[in-house]
This record gives sequence, structure tokens and C-alpha cells, in this order.
Amino acid sequence: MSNLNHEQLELALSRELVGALSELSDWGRSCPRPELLQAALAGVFQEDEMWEIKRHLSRCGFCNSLVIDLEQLDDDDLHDISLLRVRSRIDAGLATQ
Amino acid sequence: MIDFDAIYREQATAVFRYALRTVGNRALAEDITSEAFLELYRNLGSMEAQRLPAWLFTVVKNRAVDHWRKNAVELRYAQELRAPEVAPDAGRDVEAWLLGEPSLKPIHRACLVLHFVHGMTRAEIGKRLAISEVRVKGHLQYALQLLRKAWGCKDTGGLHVEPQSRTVGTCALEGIGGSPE
Repeated sequence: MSNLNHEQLELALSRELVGALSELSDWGRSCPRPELLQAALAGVFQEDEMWEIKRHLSRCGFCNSLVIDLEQLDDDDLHDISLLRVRSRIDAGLATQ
Repeated sequence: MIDFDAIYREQATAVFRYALRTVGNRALAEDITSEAFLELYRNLGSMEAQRLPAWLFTVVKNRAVDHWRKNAVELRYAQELRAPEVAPDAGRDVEAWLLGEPSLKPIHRACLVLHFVHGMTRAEIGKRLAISEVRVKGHLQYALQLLRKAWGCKDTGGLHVEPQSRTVGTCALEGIGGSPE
């Protein structure tokens, strides 16, 4: 499959769906970044810091489904490449100690 | 005596997953995970075995807190967010479709929301999800084809979701894109 075909298909679909997609981007203007959503749920922030994020999650189906999907995708992913990089950094660090 | 390599083998995946959740950035999560294990190595002599693996997760959390403190502007933005009291009806239609469409898998939903709601590029999504940009394109096309099928029915009684349907809509370019994986 060529990149050109990908681009043509996405462009054609985007044109047909311009109404629906513009609604999505309009909606997204009030959404916190995905990293903030995940960090809030991971308990990184103080209660007062994450109150608005939790409030947003309770009202936004897009963000709510996103954090659930990201959690599942991260669990499914074996992280092999990431863990190889982590191990090589550790080995490099240990070599200097 | 704590066996560093054994602890690494047993805990590295879980520590990395937690790091990824706390910062939402794969490269940074790799940094934080390796820092946590190096910190453990430096403290091996005085570390009590029963403090592990919780100690590693605490180090990761503290690193994540430092990261977000350095990005305080984003935090303030999030605190100042005011979600609309009543969301636009049209947005709610797409939201309902997204949550109810049985043919959408987590990877399709995530790509769609990250791209069209959060405005991330395909390259950024690929980096976050550890998949190629080409695969991101395929997932987006599949999701768009399903949305197209549902959206086409909007004028005749609302967005349409067909339970159990895995058939993508027909279009001039059908067959080139979309991966239901």
C-alpha cells in the first residue's frame, strides 16, 4: 500500500466527514492533553491540581475512553524496544559507577 | 543480599508501565525507569528487600512529580479548564457513536481521539503508541470509514451503529485502507 493511496483515502474521507471532524476538533479545545489525563489518574498530582481534570473526565466521553484505551494498549504492548533501551541505559550507567 | 538483575527482570515491565502512565511520554518513561533502577543500584547496600518493589514505584512517582512541576504551565492550564456545562449536541452524537460502535477496537478509538480531538499528528501518535506512522494511518482510515458509514445515516435518524458489523462502508477507494486489527 503506497503512502499516496493512504493520503488519497484519508483526504476523501476527511472531506466527506468535515462536519463530524470539525465537531471533534471543536470539542477537543477544552480537553487537557492526554499525558495530563493519564498522570492525574496515576496519582501524580495533588487533589486540588487534578480536580478539574477529574471533572473533565467525568463529562468527556472522548477523554474517558482514551485513558481506558491507552491503559489497555500499554498493557498489551510488551514494551520490548523500550525495555531494551532502558537496559542499555542502565548498563551504561553501571559502567560509570 | 538483593539480586539487582533478578529485581530488574521481575519488575522492569511493571515499573516502565507505571512510568508511562505518570508522564504519558515513552522516551521520558524510559529515562525515568532507568534512573529508578540506577538509584536502586546505588542504594543496594542499604536497601531492605521488603521495601521492593514499592520503593522503585515511589522513585518513579517522585520523578514524575518533578517533571510535572517543571511543566507547571500545563498544570495551571488544566486547572483553569472549564468543561462546558452542556456539550454541543452534535459532539455528543459523535461521542455516542465512538463509545457504542462495536467494530472499533481500542487502537482505532485511541488513534481517532488522539488525532481529531487532541490534534496530535500521526507521527506523534505513532511515537506514543509505539507503532509505525503507516499503521496509524491504517487505523485512522478504518475508523473514518466506520464514521462515514454512521454519519451518512445522520440525516435519516441519527448516527447509526450496527451491532456486530465489521463491514466498512463502500467508497471509491475501498480496499486500499483500513485494518480491523
